[in-house]
Amino acid sequence: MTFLKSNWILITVLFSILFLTTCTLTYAYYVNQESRGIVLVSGSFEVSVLAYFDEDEITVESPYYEVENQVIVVNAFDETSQNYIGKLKISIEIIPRITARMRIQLQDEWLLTRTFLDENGLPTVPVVESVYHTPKGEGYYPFSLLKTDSSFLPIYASDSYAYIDEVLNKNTLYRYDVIIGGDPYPVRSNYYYTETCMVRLGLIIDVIQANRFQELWGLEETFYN
Amino acid sequence: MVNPMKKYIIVILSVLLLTGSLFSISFAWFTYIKRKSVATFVSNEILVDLEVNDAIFIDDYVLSDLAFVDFQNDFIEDQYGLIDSLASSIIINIELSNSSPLSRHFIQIQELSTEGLLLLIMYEGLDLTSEHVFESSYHALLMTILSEYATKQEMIDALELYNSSVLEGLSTILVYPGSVMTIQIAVWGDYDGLIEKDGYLSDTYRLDLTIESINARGVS
Repeated sequence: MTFLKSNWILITVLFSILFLTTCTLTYAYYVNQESRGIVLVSGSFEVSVLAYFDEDEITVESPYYEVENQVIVVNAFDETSQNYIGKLKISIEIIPRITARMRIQLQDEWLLTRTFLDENGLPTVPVVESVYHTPKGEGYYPFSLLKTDSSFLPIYASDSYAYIDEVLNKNTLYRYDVIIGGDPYPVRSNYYYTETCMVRLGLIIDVIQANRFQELWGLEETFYN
Repeated sequence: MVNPMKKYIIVILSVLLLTGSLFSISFAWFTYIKRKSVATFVSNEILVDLEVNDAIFIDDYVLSDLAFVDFQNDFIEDQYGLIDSLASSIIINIELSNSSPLSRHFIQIQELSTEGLLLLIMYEGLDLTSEHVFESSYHALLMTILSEYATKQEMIDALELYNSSVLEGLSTILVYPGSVMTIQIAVWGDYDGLIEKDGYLSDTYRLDLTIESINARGVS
């Protein structure tokens, strides 16, 4: 009797296993389950500065680009020069990955070098001084002889930034032609001295998520209105 | 006295018969029956293809346009009118293969990160045409969901309830073989909801999506 009883238990267990397995497999066949992950990462911005003297692109290997200081060296007195100010063109391309706002700041340092000649007509140690400009009005970057493209119409603020007056939609390419040439500085050469003028030109591009301009840039809520 | 071997044979045969019946009963339960003059059973496997933002959705999908917003000023008041454009939009197409039976999709979206993401789930429709305009007035929709609530927690709860009801509604829709169901998830980062604000811009946030497709006749 004990032998028969233990066999019945075994049969019951086996039957239960079979029952569960059959149900599970049958169910699994008629149900499809798909699982996927979506990974979200904060949006960034892709910005390129395109700078040319005529058709020659200014790259980091250009003789007119100072890698260490990240400035372009522009000749502002000799129109035959390869890097003459009249040949300069600067554009900015941006593809924001989130809705953004942008501001730029042009940092142009105008250096006038005056070299005196001694009594033998030989040059002495040059004297270098910075030159400042008054605002030239429409068509010129403020306080500079660099000219802006007619399509470039930012809001020039007192903090010396030029604020692009539009919201940049995500995943859209925007191009701003910022600088199109410029006027030379009127240098002088006479019996006593010779002058040259060079511009060291840097550019700050600042892009932020569009709704953060008050917190990050300290602007009034109505600034863009 | 009955021979014990006979007993075992009877028991084994009974077990086999029962197992066979179980399979048939389950089979019938999960199988779509076409109503024809002569009943036939169709028992194809359910197959689903997934697409996310027009890309095949096989592995994890990385979306690099998450923007963090201020809950009150942006999400609720839309102070600068930018909340719609700041959303990360995820369009998911769930295509039931032609060989699958009539089915229903049970969708679950689980936020695996512990910190705040704000989700708005929308049903776009079945078998959309190229003329379909996807929902993009998120703020207007949010206002219909949240306007009667005062505190942030109440609003978060109301939004979760709304999302759950959308997903629940999807599970009642019968999907025919070859049909494509489309849903949209709009996501924002909740800056105020971040527990750890340092380095939040370089962190990654994960949503886990599970789609269980079941024979429409197999569930009540």
